[in-house]
Amino acid sequence: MSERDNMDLTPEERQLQDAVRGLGEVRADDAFREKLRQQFMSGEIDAEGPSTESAGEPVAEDNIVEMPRRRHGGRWGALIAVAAALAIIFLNQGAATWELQNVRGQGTLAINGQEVSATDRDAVAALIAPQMHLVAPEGVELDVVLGKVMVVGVAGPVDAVMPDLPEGDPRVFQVTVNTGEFRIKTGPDFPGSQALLLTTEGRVEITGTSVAVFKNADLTCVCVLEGTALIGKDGDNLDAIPAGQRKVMFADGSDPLITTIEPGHKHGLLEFEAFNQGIFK
Amino acid sequence: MGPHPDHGARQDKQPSSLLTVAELESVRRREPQALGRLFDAYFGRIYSLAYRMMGQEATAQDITQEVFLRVHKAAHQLDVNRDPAPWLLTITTNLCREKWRSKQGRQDKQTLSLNDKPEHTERVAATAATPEQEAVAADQSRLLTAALDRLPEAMRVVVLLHDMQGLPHDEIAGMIGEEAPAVRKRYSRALGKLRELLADHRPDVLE
Repeated sequence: MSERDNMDLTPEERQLQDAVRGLGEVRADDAFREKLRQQFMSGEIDAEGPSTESAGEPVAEDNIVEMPRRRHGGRWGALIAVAAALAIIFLNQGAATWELQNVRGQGTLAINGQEVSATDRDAVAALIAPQMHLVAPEGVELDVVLGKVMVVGVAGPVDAVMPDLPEGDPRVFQVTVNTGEFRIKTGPDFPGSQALLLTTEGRVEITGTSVAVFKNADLTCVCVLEGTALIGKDGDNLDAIPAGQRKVMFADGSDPLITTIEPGHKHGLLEFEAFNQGIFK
Repeated sequence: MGPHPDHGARQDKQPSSLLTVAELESVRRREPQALGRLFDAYFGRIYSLAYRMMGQEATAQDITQEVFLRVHKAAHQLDVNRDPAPWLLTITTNLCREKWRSKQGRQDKQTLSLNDKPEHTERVAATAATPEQEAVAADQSRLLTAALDRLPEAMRVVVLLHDMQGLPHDEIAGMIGEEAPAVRKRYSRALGKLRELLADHRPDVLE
């Protein structure tokens, strides 16, 4: 505990702090503890076997958060170039590096200013690097994978700085997107980690899921295909958006919209899933 | 009332001090004895955190079970050179936060009044020397627990992780995806809120 952690506390606050610290450890029911211990030791707890998929579990239908339909947010034909920042902060214990998984479509990419044809897979793969600046035209899609941690797909038109491979504990990965569409699927090495996406309209916290994030000048839309994503304006006001739902946050401050996933986005996510099927096995 | 046993002591220990590197290697291989050691070392912290976060025994049990399921599934990726506690507590915290924000979680939520009697006796390790001291300690615990339960969830997280789990604000910030200054500020606001909630009971709690 650093000294900074305890700065500026009044004597009364310090007393309260001590009182909270003095609360004893809560002892679990002995039968529950012993049964769980046996299941954990024997492997019985994990009837399906070790994970080869995302740890994010689908949420039951009755967990779906519904809000009144207020306005249609599905006009995604043209993603307008904007300078909105989108950050992924990703915390993880494992070690891996970003690699090209797929590149699709025709057109010229620019990676760190170096132009390369999307059809020249080897040349694109050679340019993939942590924290690369990627510019891709409409019609080009590219997926990069970080070990068994996560796969990130981008669909042009996109202008983004892709994640770094930072050191430290926790490791913090950051993506800055000026324009574009992102798709993210977490892998079996993701548990215990967190991905946080920040846009001008809000934030998305991912603890194991498959999502698509669209950002344009007017709004941020997050579609959840698997698992649950926590999405909101800030850390104090997050909604758990389950599979099959999306949340739209508007730049003009209008109330957010939570509704079923937009068919076009779902289709894009399913394609993304199909292209990356078995990637984590 | 003294500080939590874990509080302040963590920094004096080497990472992975509760289990050796060799034991953690065995955990990666899912060897039963090593899994048992991991369970014994961290079950209490995980269950306590889940219970304090959720305020309900059944929910705390569900979350604890889910944590150990996920740990078992992902044991092969455990970094043996690091203390597994932050990883385990991050999983626990994430599950609690997901539960809070689910419709079911909100329906299950029953906030205690500070004047309510608990539905069941909280199983807290007894440290009191006499029955009278034990009763006073239990009352203090009940008041504080009810006050913590009434804190907004974002505040409760930082108080529990900082004061009960002994984690520094920087580490909490990493776990919940916030900036450290924001976490520090929220912690300070949380103490202020606790002070308000306990205004009528402060002598009982702070004596």
